[in-house]
Amino acid sequence: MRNKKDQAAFHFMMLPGMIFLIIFSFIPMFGIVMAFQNYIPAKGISGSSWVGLDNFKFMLQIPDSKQIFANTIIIAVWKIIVGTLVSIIFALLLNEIRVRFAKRFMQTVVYLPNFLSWAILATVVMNIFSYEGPINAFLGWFGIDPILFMASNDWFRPMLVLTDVWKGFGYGSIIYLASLTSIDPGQYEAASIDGANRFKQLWYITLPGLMPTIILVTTLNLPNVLNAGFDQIFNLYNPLVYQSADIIDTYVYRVGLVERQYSLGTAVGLLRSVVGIILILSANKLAQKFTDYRIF
Amino acid sequence: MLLKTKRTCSVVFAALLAASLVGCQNSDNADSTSSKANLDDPAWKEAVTTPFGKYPETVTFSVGQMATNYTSLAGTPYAKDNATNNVWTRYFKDKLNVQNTTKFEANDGADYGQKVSMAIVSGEIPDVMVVPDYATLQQLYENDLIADLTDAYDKTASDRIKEIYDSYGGRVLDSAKFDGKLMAIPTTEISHGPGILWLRKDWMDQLGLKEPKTMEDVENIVSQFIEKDPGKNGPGKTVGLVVDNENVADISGGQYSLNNIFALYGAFPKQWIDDGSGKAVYGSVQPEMKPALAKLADMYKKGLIDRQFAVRTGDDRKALLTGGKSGSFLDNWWGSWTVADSLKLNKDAQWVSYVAPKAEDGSLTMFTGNPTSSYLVVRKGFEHPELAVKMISLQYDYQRYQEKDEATLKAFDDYSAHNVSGSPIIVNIDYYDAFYRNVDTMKQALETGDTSKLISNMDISNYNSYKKYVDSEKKGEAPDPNAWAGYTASITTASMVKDASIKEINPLFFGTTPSMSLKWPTLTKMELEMYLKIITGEQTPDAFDKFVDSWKKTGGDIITKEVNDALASK
Repeated sequence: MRNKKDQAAFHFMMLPGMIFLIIFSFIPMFGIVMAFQNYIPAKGISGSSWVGLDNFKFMLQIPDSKQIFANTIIIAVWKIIVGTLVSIIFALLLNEIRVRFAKRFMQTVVYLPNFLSWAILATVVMNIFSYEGPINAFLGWFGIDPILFMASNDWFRPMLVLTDVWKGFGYGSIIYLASLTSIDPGQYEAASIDGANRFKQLWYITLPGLMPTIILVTTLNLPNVLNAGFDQIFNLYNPLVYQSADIIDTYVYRVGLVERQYSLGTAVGLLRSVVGIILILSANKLAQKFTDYRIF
Repeated sequence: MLLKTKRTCSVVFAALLAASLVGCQNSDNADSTSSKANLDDPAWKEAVTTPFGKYPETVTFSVGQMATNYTSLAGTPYAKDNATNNVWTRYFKDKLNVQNTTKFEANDGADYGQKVSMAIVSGEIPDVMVVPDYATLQQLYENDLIADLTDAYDKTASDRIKEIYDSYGGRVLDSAKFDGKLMAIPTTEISHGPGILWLRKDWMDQLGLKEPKTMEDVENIVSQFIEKDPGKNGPGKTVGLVVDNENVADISGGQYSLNNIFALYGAFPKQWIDDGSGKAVYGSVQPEMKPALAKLADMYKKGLIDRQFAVRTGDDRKALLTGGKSGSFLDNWWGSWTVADSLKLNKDAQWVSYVAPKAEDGSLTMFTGNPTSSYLVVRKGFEHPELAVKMISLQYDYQRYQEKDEATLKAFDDYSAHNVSGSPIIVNIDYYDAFYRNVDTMKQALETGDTSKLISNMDISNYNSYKKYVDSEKKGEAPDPNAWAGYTASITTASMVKDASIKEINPLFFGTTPSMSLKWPTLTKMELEMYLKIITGEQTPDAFDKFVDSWKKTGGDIITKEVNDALASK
């Protein structure tokens, strides 16, 4: 009886969240019909004429679309791979530090960038990697010609991945640190009695212990493949690197809002959502298969 | 007990949330309030049918306006002024009995355009606003969102306003007409004159450099600036020509654009030019472009063009010039305003304008711009569409030419001395030849001190500002940056342009065609990438041929045909 009452209270507490979700995530979904219309704002959705799949056809015709889909996936996949790896390695290294104060200090320092917005970080990044910036000055000591990192199609993507990882790896390592604490210390004691050194302990106890978490986090990250990071790219890119940096979100922003092609913007965004839902469903399946964890 | 508190909390929270949402939905309704006009009342009748008739009751209207730097009024009697209470709004209230409320406020340029877009998408446009381009006007008309101003213009535009529009032939007013109805009050673009090269004269003097004429002279000066570092920026730290990454070639005017250099090669990018047989072709895909691009790529390689121009923002560009990092940029005659701040930062900075680079015969070619760019529109359903026309008449005729009250004029002078505008409607309506029109009279007045020939208040106000500059110059004092900028643009540069040999190319088409709405964004993006890649050396100039090819295939040919059809049907 008491249990049920408890739950009722919890359900009630969910209400604001649900309302939020309905208003900002479900109601706007009706807007996707714009993708099948020649949408004219004043006439509204009910008054605009239907054009069927014209917007999708045009989207596939324009040379930009292949490029932006490719960019989106490449950038996001790299971010997931590098981001996960760095987070794990950082968590493992931190775990090896036995001085508690040093550990806490390190952790706090690497969390910090996570709390700054890209609008601020972009300026910092632009300055550090500019022509006269410290990185180019450093390279200059080795006789390397200055490189325009932010205006080079070769460098821009690595820069995106690098700065994104730098911003997020501290925060990303929290979950690994948490799951490290759940490994039974008895195993380490037993191993050290058997003569295993620190590296062997890491290899045979820590890593296998972390494996479920790694797989879970990675599969849950999969749906984010199409989420390559609007904030970051929008603040860092420039017309010269559209070729390697323009992702679906930045394109939809420019076409939909700046050029006022609402229907085309919606069509591109819709396609992104369709691919996104396929990825979420398959990630859910994978998570269930590997770690017996499911979201729905 | 604890449980109960929890539940109460969540109920209250949910209720608050719901209430705030309802509140959100309602807040937009109470828009502008305006009293019902009663046309039987002679005072109302007078107000709605004459340019300067005063409304018997205050008419309020909401407006989308460009943000103004009221902070620069700090320490003056106007320190408390804001967007709805300043010299202009008080004037409008006093003369016409109209009062603005702000629907949105945004910085000039892209910010403002976005706010306008947002307003249109949400269907909540202000009663009066300036839209930045023709495409937006067209969209508003097609969506039936704006009022027909034909009648309002006929009755409430003053004679001088009509005369000003007539100085453009029909070109300007016609552009705002749809199916014979005048749907907006178009801004007039006075002749923008040729591209002007702005250089740091103090640096040139230090290095003993002479006035530039040809392209070689320009290259020489810029390279000396970089090598010999007269600005003491440290070796290799001086930046070459400052160039706009999104407007390497500009459609109209040309701040930080390279139009002059393209013109040397007979290339007119972004313009629909005559191919010689009366047919319109797109300048950016003509063969003349290739050698011009090759030249620019070469200049970039040598550092004569800012090496980091691709990543710079507008603020960066301005900072390079005002901060003494660069001593050269191309602009129009108003370029002195771009660098006025450098006088505040560095009293030695001395910017001088040149008509350069010139062709071998000493001429400089320019294209004539679109005679109109932005448009003042009135929301359909707003009770007093004539209000916009009356405000235009008051602002661009009465205040400029007929206002004689000293105190009022002084307030406007004070405002312009601080480079603050304040009017809720920022458009420009002036005679086509306004830039050259009064130069000689003004110069004469400055020499003799006799102002009787200056006809408008603006001329007299300008005269006072120029006089201040000339006097401070004579005394060897540091000039006021705004007074300097005004004099350098409107007197020094204007008379130089008047005497120079300028050839004009008249583009044939400025409008939009049906296919443009969908295809133009892709084409302009391709074009922009082409400029940047070729100039920065990422691709060789040969990539231009490939660009032309895909430009034509991706809709360029269709649009060219539509442009010519549109011209033929005129």
